[in-house]
Amino acid sequence: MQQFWINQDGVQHGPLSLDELKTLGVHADAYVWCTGMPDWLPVSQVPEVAALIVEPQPESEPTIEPQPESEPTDESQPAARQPAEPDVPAVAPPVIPDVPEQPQRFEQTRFGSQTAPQQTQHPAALPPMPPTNLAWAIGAMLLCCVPLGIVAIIYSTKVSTSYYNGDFEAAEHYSEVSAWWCIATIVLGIISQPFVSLLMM
Amino acid sequence: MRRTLVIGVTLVVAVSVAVIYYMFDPSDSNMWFPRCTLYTLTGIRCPGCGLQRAAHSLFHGDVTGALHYNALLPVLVVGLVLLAVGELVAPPQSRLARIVRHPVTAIIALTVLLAWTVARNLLDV
Repeated sequence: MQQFWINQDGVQHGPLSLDELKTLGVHADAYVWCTGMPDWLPVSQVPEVAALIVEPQPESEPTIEPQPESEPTDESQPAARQPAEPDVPAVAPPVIPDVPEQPQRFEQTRFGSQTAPQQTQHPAALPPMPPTNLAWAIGAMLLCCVPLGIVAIIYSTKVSTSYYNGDFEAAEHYSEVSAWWCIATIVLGIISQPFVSLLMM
Repeated sequence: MRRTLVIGVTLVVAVSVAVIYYMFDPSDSNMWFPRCTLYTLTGIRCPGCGLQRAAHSLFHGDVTGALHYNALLPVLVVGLVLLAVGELVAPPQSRLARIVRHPVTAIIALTVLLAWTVARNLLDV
């Protein structure tokens, strides 16, 4: 189970599991860190946690910028510097270096074309690639129903294409869609068998 | 957690299916085996047609017979195993996982399958 640290409304919580994050309520302007990340990331760039956001994500409103600039600089910095996890020092999150700088990055990385430079700077900070389901799509296509299986394969191609284009949300979406097409292919293949056998008699 | 479940279910299903195709012959008309929907409805052979008979032949050491039923069998088996291992077992940063998850891999796989479908129906293999 992966543990997350979260910083929102100037308060740092953690380590928390995904379930605990859900009960806490993740805000769209929060920052998230987990082991393996070199730095804190906006919650929108961590797909597992972004799925738990309780508020609708603000669509590039300029009003969200001043909030992290004014408040968390005062309150979150001391909270982050406390030895929060004395028993697990090896996995303590990094101290938030410069909070006012991060909302700008957040604004930039909202758009697919701007993510490329950041990827080269922090290769380890990329969210994990969602499953492409390619093996299942091909297996389902061969063993069950070819036309539906082809749709599953095409969506599984879109997973990796979107991911390498920096559109992680789309990759996540296509991963789910391709999984459902695999399931649909298998279910249709099984349902059709009695009818196919009847036809052959 | 979910990954372990998927790996476990896949292994159990694969082994039991292999045992069934070793014990029973799909070309025996007294036995019931799944039929290809596409072939039954349209007469077009799908890229997977013949895999059941090919598996039975292969498990009984008849490699030529297996290739006769479905010439793409070795490519399909090796390819599917590599894809599944790269997706589920290999660490995400490993070379295999990165190749398996590359967009070009999926496009190659789709092209090979479609080309094989066209070729086997034109050449009647």
